[in-house]
Amino acid sequence: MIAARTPMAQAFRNVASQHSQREALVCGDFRATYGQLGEKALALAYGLHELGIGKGDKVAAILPPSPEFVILFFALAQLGAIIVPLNPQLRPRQLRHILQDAEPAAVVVGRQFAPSPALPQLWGREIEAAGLHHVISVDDEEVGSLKFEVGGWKLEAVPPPSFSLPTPSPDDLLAILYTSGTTGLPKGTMHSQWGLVAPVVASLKLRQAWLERPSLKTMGRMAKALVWYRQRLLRAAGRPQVILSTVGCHTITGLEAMLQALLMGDKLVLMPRFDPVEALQLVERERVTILIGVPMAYAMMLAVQDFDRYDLSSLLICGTGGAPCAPKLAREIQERFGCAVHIGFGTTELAGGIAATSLDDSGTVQAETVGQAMPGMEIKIVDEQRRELPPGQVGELACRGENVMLGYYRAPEKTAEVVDEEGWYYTGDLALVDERGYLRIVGRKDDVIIRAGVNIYPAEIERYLEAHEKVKEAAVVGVPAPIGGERTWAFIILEEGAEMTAREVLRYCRAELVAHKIPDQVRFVADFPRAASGKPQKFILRDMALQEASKK
Amino acid sequence: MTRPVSGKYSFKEFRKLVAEELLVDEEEITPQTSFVTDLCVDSVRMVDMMLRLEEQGIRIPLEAGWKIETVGDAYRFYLEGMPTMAQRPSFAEGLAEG
Repeated sequence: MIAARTPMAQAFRNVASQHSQREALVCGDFRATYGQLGEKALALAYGLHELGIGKGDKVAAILPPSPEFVILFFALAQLGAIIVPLNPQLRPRQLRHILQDAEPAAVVVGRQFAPSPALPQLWGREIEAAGLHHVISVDDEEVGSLKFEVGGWKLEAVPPPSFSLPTPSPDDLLAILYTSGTTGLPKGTMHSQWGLVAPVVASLKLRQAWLERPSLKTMGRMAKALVWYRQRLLRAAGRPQVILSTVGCHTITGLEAMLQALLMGDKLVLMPRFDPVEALQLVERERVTILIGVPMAYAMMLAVQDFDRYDLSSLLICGTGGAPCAPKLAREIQERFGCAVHIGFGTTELAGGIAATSLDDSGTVQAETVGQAMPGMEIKIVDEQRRELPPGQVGELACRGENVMLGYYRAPEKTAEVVDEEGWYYTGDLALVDERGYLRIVGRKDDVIIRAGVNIYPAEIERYLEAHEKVKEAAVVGVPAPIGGERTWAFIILEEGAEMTAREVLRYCRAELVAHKIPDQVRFVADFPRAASGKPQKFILRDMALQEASKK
Repeated sequence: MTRPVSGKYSFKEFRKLVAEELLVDEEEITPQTSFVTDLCVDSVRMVDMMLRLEEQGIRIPLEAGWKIETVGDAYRFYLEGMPTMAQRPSFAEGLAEG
């Protein structure tokens, strides 16, 4: 068990020494035990220290999920330094904004990890413009025309006895994670050494209740889960789990998946580039018990032609999050992967999970809700004046817990808008908690459409549209109308090869939706403009609609 | 569809315009078709439709909007207007005047 307020550096040292012989990390041909991971992180910490990087220095990492990222993360944690994980797919404009905002002392890049051959040149230009002191390449390859330090990346060095690591405190800043920019320019969320450990401790409590020390009450509930998952549950109980994370480590979902595995002594399997076939092969080869991916990754895996050929019987849980997961997809995951589906819900500002479903929840609850609050997390639903609402009413979701961010980087006024004096973080998400304490996300506060004074929650219409067999994805936005109020525009991506007209869509809507929830306009698109996380950028869709409307 | 030079649109022509505005099939519409129950038209969509019909030369008096239940009603108000309200503003003018 990890003690309360253990800094990340200490939590990692503990697990590395406690399970030194246990396999910790698998990625391609790379395999390492906890002991080896600890040694490499120490060697890199020494290399970085030699470059002058120490406590309080920021280091940007343009790396995918990889051993390099993992080792860098724990090296910086032990130095008391700060990691700024960046998406390798960032476009130059966003990269420039983040580098200017974060002002890192160094950036760590790998040409081999560039998603396209043209990107290193663009990275190089932005890195040069930002005037960084150190550019460290993990593969000794040029990045654009940059000259960089090759000395910094040392994984085999043995630090001299005189080299001693500092002792970071639980409240020291450890990571600045930039939000995906669904609503505009990315904001940096600051997380402490303990803040990133706290969600792992919450998950650990859940797991202990289930897999290690079940109480009588839990055993009663477990009997139900046993009936559902039989051998899968028995095989996984009491053993280290094998977690395959297909999510980028620059996102809170990916970072927490990595920490959940490595701070609990599990085996973590990583993929630098997501490939649905490779993911299924890895589940089979490594006997993965917990698979973590964004909803789109699951949709891609399910679309693999010979999906049923893979042996996925080791899987106990398919976890998803990072973007809304349609109940239709959740049910398909349950049926075809043959395991429980956990739709977690969290935000970057909260360093991970707010709520999650449990193994003993019914299939319907797992598919349609995001479960109950995680241990240690308080949640409430509030009205416009931030007064608490009773169960069943839709309002803004507010949360309080030890994993709430320290604030937005260099933007105290923005922090004050969302975190109150009592430590409640107001998520901007509209949700309701039912009588049994299950949380349902209804949409974003910013996304609410006010049509003739009636509030319309896009997520409800999107879910209904996505339940149609020809509809792959829907995004519904409110667009100001010339005579006042807003009108509802539905943007639709059809399933491959499917054909549908706007009339068909509306006929389908008229069958079930009340009149005011039927979209006023329907447009078909090949894809949505998306944030780096994959979420549709509704502000751009809204602009597209406005432009079209103004031409009429 | 261009406005008939002499007189008014026939019901068939009127129905076609309504079908285009509401994105329904013409065949779904008869004079008895209810805007609310059959076509799921709420007051907002009704206002939008009437404004767009007005751009096509179909003027329905402002007050009529609240009395229209069926497509047949709408067509009748278009044909006959509301004699007692003859001097009242049209739908669009009424909205503009607030």
